[in-house]
Amino acid sequence: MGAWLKLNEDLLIQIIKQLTLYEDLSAFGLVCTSWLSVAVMEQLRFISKLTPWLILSPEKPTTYRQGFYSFLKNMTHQVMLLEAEGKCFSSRGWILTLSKPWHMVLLHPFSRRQIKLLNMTTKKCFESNRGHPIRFIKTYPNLPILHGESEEEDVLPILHANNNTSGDIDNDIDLENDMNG
Amino acid sequence: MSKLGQAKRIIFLKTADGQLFEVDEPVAMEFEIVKSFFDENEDAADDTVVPLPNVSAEPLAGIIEFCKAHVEFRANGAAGKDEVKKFNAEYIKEKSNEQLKELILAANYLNIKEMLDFLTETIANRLKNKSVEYVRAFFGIENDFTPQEEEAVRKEYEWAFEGVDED
Repeated sequence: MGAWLKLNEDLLIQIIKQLTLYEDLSAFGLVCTSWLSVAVMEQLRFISKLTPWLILSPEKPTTYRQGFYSFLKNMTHQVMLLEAEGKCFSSRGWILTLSKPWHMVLLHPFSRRQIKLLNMTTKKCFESNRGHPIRFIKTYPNLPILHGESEEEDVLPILHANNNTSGDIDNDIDLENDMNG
Repeated sequence: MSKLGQAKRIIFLKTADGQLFEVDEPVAMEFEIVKSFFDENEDAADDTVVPLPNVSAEPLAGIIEFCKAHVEFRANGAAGKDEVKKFNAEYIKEKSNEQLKELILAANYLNIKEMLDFLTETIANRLKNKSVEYVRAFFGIENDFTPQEEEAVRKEYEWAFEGVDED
């Protein structure tokens, strides 16, 4: 039925908003070229609302192959993540990667989108956290960490493990500033 | 628009296939397109027939049924309650994918927000965990990717297509 092709973009976006799995968005984008452009446009907003996945410990310490476990589908996906060197943390479905000298990048494991953040040594939150992030990374090398939720679109809360407990870093990182800066 | 104390006003709607519908004013005013028709033609006669050239009788009857129930729910203060969910579930249960498509296209044309929200949610639920082929067949959309393009996009999302339902 040709009428579906004329479905206005808003309606397609409304349908996308009601989907819950990233896999469903992928299927949606593969339908035809015009739907792909809508899916790509909506991707960023979509992935910020996804149900968390578990990051599994790599089988070998040197591998780039990372396992992700989906609660909703009860299955594990393996993704090659060449971009994520060393240890990573997770926030709202994004992987926070760290590389020397403390460059932080948010990487989405499935869409491969990347957002560069401020150099972490400049963030007060890490100073007030006492001790260096590197110690934290070494102490909890294989701990799966889930993302947090934020009411505000542009603010990114980071859940982290610290002294055997989980908690929020006091200062949220302002995504908007970081993206513009 | 009817004024307080006035007798219940009936709105006449004519579908693309020539059927005339008589609809209670509060129900017809759920259709944004009908509402703006009367807003723009304030002195329209009471027996004015509003033509709906993009809607046929079958989906319109379904839409009137839905809106009538929801107008009543709101009047009874039942909006958002279990009663409404039960009605919605029953309403959609018997609808085929084809009917669902007719409904959403008509509701989109008539611009009925509440019903559109409900229908997009229903469609999204029917598309969950389905293959690309299923989604294409559902919407009747032709694949316009070149084999190379499709291969490239598929490769990118390879992992996402494990374990989906093929039907």
